[in-house]
Amino acid sequence: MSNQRRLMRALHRAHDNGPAQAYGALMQWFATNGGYYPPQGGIGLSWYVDSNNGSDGYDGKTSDRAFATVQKAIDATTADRGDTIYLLPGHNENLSATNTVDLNKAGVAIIGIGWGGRTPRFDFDHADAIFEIDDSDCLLKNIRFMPGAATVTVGVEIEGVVNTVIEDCYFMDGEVSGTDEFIESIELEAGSDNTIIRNCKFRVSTSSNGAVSAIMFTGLSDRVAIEGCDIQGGYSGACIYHDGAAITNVRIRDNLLVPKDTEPGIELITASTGIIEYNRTCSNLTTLAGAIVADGVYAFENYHSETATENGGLARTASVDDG
Amino acid sequence: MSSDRTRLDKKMQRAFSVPMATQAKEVVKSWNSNGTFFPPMGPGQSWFVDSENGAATNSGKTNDLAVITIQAAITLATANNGDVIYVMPGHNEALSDSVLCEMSKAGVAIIGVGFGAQKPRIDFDHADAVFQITANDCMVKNIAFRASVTAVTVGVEIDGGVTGTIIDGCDWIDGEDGAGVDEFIESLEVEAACNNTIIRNCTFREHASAAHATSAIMLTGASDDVLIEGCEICGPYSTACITNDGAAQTNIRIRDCLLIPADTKLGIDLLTGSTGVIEDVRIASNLATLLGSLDADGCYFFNALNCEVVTETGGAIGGTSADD
Repeated sequence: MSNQRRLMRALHRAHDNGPAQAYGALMQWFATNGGYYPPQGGIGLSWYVDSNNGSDGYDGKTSDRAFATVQKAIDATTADRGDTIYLLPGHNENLSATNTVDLNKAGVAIIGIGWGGRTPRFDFDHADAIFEIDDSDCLLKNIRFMPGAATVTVGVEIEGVVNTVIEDCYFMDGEVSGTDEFIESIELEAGSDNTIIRNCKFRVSTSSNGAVSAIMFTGLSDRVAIEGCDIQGGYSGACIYHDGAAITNVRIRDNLLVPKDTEPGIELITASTGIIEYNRTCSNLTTLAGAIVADGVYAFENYHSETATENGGLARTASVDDG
Repeated sequence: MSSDRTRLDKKMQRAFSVPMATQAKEVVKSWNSNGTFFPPMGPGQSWFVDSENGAATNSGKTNDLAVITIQAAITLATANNGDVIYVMPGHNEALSDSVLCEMSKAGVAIIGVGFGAQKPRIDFDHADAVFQITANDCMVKNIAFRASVTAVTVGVEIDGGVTGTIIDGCDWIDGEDGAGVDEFIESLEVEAACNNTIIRNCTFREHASAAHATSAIMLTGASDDVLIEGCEICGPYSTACITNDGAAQTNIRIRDCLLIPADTKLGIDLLTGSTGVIEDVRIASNLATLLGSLDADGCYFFNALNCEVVTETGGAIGGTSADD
């Protein structure tokens, strides 16, 4: 029997029993056929992951036959088709040195469903545990990442691939606050052009000894945007930090940046270019300008507050007529 | 019923000629027009509450089989299942000292449907009536709360140790009494260890003559990482619009709020040692100093302004950071 005839029959039966049953049957049909949570690409498939009720022995095509691990779902996707992986509420997955995640299918989205403590979460239980983005055009949305060991080298690593979007994600304080931490919460390796990091939250205890930065550039990337993020904690380098080669055309806007006291909010390699605007930084530095170390970028309306109860002052001198 | 079936058949046959996503859109549109498409936020169940058209004996599973109280729907919901309780437009429910509302199922959302006067409303008909949140990760969205007697102790109470609460788009409206004697003493109380609470885009109002209103948002113990943003708080609050008692807050963030307490009172009054960031807040109150309108000695400020007198424009609270 064709899918169409099966649906028709289910609908007729359900419809005669009232709208609630019809609605339920309809949603069940769409869930069974992978369409209840529509794939982001419009024509791809949806996949489901649920550590609580799923199994890697399932087919992952419906929420009640979800995989248990995200890697299994990634392996099931087809690249560049618009496939979406949905992580169900309460999903919690432990990563280790040998059990890492490699998002290696281009154009795949991974989206968490749920809020608060039900937001899907990955725990990093070993210093070498990692969530790698290894192919272009991938999206991560509404996922929590929590270090469960001291000095986890990197949380999410973008491996020099382009057009990554990381949105509404939460890099949490360590499982044991002050002991467990990411050294770098997100690392962008060279060539991670057009990356967007948007509306993400980063926390680490101010007593952390190992956290260096929330977002680390380790080489030349072009046109990266970081916006709407809230980054607070004991970052010993800077909230947004840079090593390797200068970056170009970066745009950093509308972020709250509170690093370890006496450290800058943003520190980019000399000659990095771009625009830094509407950021607020808090840290006790010698000068307000020290809050943003980025000698090749234009700045608009960035404010720095050195001391509690002081109102943030402009982090750079305002431009004036100079003939 | 048969004509409905025929219409549905036609829609489905038409929809089958296009991809899956379009099919879903088409069918959802059809259901939506019949008023029954309210999706759960995950794989959970939707429940419906309607004081006007519901019945206590209904199943609560559709809007035409709605139950009549939110508490009844909470009882039906399953914790940590992604369940959503939709409260229908025009719903009006009264709480008393014996009829309370306790949101005791973790991970449940209560979402009001409707706007303006149709926004679902809960009335507090006794000083001890209260809407309690006693489980983690709950959401309350687009609900109005109204005091209907004098000195209601607390409107909404987030119980101690409950984390991840989201209160979004809710209104605490003027008390019922036209002379302005009905009010909440504390509109919203956040007890100790309510970490990661979010209070967003809410309005708090009290009549100018509400004599017992102390504060709109009261933080009664140490909580971490509380976010208050986009709120408008206007009333004769005798302590402050946002008040902290008991123990200091850590990493609080208050942003983009308009705060108008009783004149000469504070917009924000946090305990000494509270840490966090306060940004883009506007306070209107006539104090001896601008800084007096914002008592938060462990917080950084950005663009925090106080306007003391009408016709003046708000000035910066606290000295501006400078090179040192």
